[in-house]
Amino acid sequence: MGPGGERDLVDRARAGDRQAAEALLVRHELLIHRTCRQLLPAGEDVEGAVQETFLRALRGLPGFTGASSVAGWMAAIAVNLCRDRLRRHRLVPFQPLESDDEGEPGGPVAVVPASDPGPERVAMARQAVERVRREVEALPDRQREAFVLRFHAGMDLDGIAAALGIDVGTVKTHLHRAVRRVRRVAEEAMP
Amino acid sequence: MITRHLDDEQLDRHLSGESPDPEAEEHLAGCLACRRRRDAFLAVIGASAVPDPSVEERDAAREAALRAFGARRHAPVIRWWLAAAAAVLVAVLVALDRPPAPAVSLAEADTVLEEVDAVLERDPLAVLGGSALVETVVPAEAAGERSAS
Repeated sequence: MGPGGERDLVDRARAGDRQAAEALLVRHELLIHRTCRQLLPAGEDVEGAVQETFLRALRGLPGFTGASSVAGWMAAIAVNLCRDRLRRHRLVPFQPLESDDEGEPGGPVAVVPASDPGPERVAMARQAVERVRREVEALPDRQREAFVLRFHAGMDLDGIAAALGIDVGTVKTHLHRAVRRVRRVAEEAMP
Repeated sequence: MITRHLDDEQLDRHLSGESPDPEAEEHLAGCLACRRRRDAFLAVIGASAVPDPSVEERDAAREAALRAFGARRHAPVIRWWLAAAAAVLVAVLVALDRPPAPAVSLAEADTVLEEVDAVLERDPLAVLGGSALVETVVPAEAAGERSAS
């Protein structure tokens, strides 16, 4: 479905069409889940944040001007909600140093080349993943948000700009600094 | 086509999704070493991500939001009907709880005054008796019954 189709969904959802509202959420829910999961620390009510984002989006539909994409607009709601929660609870993003995600599809084992699956390489991959995770968490807020939206939520630069309420040039600056910092750590940890 | 490998700056620009440098992109397409370097970075980032929610979790979050949204949309209508029903109920209760008409009390008062006059005519000093006079005219049991009703 193109932007025109999405606009039609927005109009129908505004008019109270539940199916259209649901279709809009389905279309963008993974973006919202990923954004909240990456920006909020473990232990925070991430599902509650996702639901609240959905609800704010549905209630805010009458005010949606179409100046940005629906994805950018909904991501903006999610980012603002995560900022509020982090500020209110003075939360610091945190991930446990040890995790049992070796066997999961996206776990550290996925980093190890199939040609070299030895235990030392797996251990090195685990450490690399943890170091990268901590480096991303330690990024300045705007850089971290831009990084998460780009690499975890898969947004383009225009969408990130809409989500963060800044221009594309500033997004590039934030992303460039974040990528340089995280890539250095990743390459040091995985020579 | 550039023959040297991408430098850090070129790789970072590529990763950041900036406008592609045609020469750098062409080199990347044909250079296994540069692609491996890029893919290794992306793999580490992917592995560091919090796993996606299950389908059930996604369904639950969406349904909860839609339910809450539906409830809010209908809330004003429900409140209007509740307010109207409450107003009718209060009006009925007030009407039922209203005290009896004062005509009966006035008739009783006239009778009491006549009896007081009769007592005072027989014994003018009875006015000094205070409660004794009242007791004579309106016995205590009758007064209790009246206030209880």
